[in-house]
Amino acid sequence: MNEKVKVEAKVKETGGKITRREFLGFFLFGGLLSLFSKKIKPVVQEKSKKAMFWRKTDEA
Amino acid sequence: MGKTVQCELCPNECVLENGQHSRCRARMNKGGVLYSLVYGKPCAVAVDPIEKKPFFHFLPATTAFSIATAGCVLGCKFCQNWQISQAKPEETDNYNLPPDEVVRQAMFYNCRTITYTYTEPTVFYEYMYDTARIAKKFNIKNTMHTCGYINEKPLRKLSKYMDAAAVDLKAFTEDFYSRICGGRLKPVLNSLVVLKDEGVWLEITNLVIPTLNDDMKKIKEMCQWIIKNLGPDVPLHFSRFFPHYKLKELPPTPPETIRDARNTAMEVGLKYVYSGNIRSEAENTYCHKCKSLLIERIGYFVKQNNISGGKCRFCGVNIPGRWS
Repeated sequence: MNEKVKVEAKVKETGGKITRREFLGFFLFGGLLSLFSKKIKPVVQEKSKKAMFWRKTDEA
Repeated sequence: MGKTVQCELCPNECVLENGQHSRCRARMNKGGVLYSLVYGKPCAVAVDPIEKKPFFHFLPATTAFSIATAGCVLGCKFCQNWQISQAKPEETDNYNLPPDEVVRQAMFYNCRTITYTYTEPTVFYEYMYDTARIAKKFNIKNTMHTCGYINEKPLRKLSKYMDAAAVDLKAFTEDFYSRICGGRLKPVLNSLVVLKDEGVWLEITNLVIPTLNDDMKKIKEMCQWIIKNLGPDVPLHFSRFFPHYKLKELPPTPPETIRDARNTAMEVGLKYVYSGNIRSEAENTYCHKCKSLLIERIGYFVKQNNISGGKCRFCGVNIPGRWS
C-alpha cells in the first residue's frame, strides 16, 4: 500500500515534465523524421503529355 | 533504330535520340515519341496587373492570371527569370494545375485574362494551347509574353485562341541574338508579322542594354521596320536594363538613353512609345491626334482613363487597342 502511494507521489512530482535525456531523444527523432520526409516524395503515377509539332527523322 | 525525333516547335528544331532532352529542357524523346515534361506543371502562378506584361492597350486596369513552367528556347545573358527559365522541370517546385483548373482559378480570382509569361510560353505549348481553348469557351482572354522564337505553323495554330501578345524584340541585329541570346533575329521578325496577320493584338518591348543594343541607328532601323511591316499603331516599350544574371558588369541604362530611344521612335512615326522600368510621364498614353492625356499610369497602377468605347474622350478619334 505504501509502495503505491510512493509511485503516485513521484508522478505528481514530475508534473509532466520530461528529462533532458528524453528531450534530446525527441529532438533527434524529430530532426531525422524531418530529413527523411524531405527525401521521400510521394510516388505519383504521372501521365506524360505527347508533344505537338515533331516528327520521326526516318520519315520522309 | 528509328527512335530519333526532331522537334518542330521552335527554330532550334532539336534532333533528339531516345532519352535525350530538348534544348529548352521541357521536352523529351521517350522511346521514339516526343513528350512534354511540363504539361499541367507550372512553377510560377500569380495574379498580376495586365500592365506588368506589359500591355498598355489591352484591357487596362484589369488583372491577368499568370502562369509559367520551367524552361526556355533561348538563353539570354540578361534574363530576369533565369532561375526558372534556365532550369529543368524537376529542378523547380511545380504546382499540379491542369488546364481546366487554371481557367477555374482565373475565374475565381476575377481575372479577365490568362497570361502565359515569365519564362518562354513556347516551351509549354501544349499546356498553353489546351488552357487557351478552354478559357475561350468561358470568355476569358488569352495573352502571352513571348520572345517570338517559335515556328510559323504552331504560332498560326495558337493564334486562333490568342487575343494579344507582348513580344520581346531584344535587338535588331543577328549578332546580338547570336551572342547574347543564343538565337536568331529573323524568326522573331517573322513571328511578329504572323501575329499581326492573324489579328492578334501586338505590343513590342525592347530592353535597352548599354553598349550592347543602345545604338540609335539600329533603334531607328528597328522602328522603321516596325512601321513598314506592322504599322505605326503598334505600341513599343523601351525598357531600362538593370545588371542581372550574366551581365552584372554592365551599368543600368541611363534614363537619357531611354528618352533618346523614345524620341527616335516617335520621330520615325510610331504613335505609342513608352518607357519601362523608369518612372516618367512616358508611362502615360496620349492621344496621337489631340495629344490629350488618355491613360495616366504610375507604375502598373492606372490613375485615370479617358478612353471611352475605344475612342479619345476629347477628340473622338479611335485609339488602337482592345479596350473591352
